[in-house]
Amino acid sequence: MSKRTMTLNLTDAEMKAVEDLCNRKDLSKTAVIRQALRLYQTVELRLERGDKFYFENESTHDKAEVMMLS
Amino acid sequence: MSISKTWLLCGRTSALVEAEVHAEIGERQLHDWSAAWRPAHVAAIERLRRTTPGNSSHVLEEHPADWKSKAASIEGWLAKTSFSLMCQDMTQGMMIVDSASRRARLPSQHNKESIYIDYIEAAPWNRRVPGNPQRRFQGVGRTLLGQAILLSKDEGFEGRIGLHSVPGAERFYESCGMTRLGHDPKTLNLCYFEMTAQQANQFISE
Repeated sequence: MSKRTMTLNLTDAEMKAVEDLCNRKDLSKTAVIRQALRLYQTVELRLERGDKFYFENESTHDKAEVMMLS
Repeated sequence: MSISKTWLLCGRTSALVEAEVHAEIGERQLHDWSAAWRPAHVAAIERLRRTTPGNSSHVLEEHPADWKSKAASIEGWLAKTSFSLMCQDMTQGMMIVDSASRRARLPSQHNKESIYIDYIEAAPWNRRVPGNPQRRFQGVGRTLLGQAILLSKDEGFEGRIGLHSVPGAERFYESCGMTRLGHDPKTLNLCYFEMTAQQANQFISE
């Protein structure tokens, strides 16, 4: 599959967040950004299909809806 | 669309036969599913009922995956990748994987990125089930698992993969070296299996 290159303009805090994720996940910066894009698109697609987005606490089973404003 | 060459074992002659893994499930594959897989599946269920009445381990076989719907539902979805295995001008296996929605569960790799196999299926004539004494091709499942591992490595996930197994396939995944983590009440109580990077390297080297 052909790939294309783009330049990202990030703030220092955003760049640090990318680097932290790289270290935590043992992934390259490209891999982190690609994962972020996939997750973003997944959330959007599922919201469009009528699904709701929740976080659930594994211990307490408390659910908190992630409110996405349209 | 990428195509890679591989080999399957012919069940009748025990000879290696050239096959191809396609990084897509397209019109050709869906035609094969509709025109060949579905009738063969119906015939296989009827044989199963005759030869092993009341065999509950195959209850999920009675509800085959609708690959046309699945392929349509993942159109343009970046996190989803599909694969098909072609041999002798026929689709012999198909798989859909997810690269973003799931994390590894084994303690040694907890929360690390992993390729999750949403669906994986060999054509009915390739499955090891009662009433199907000679599979047309062997190695379909292993080849597709191998592709999931290669994708995992390409993505930087070091070969980690995970899946929930239908009851009739649990022994197969164990034989592939996957670790069984037990039944998952959140996923139809299916048994969850996972492969570490080391297990993945072992699998590929075999």
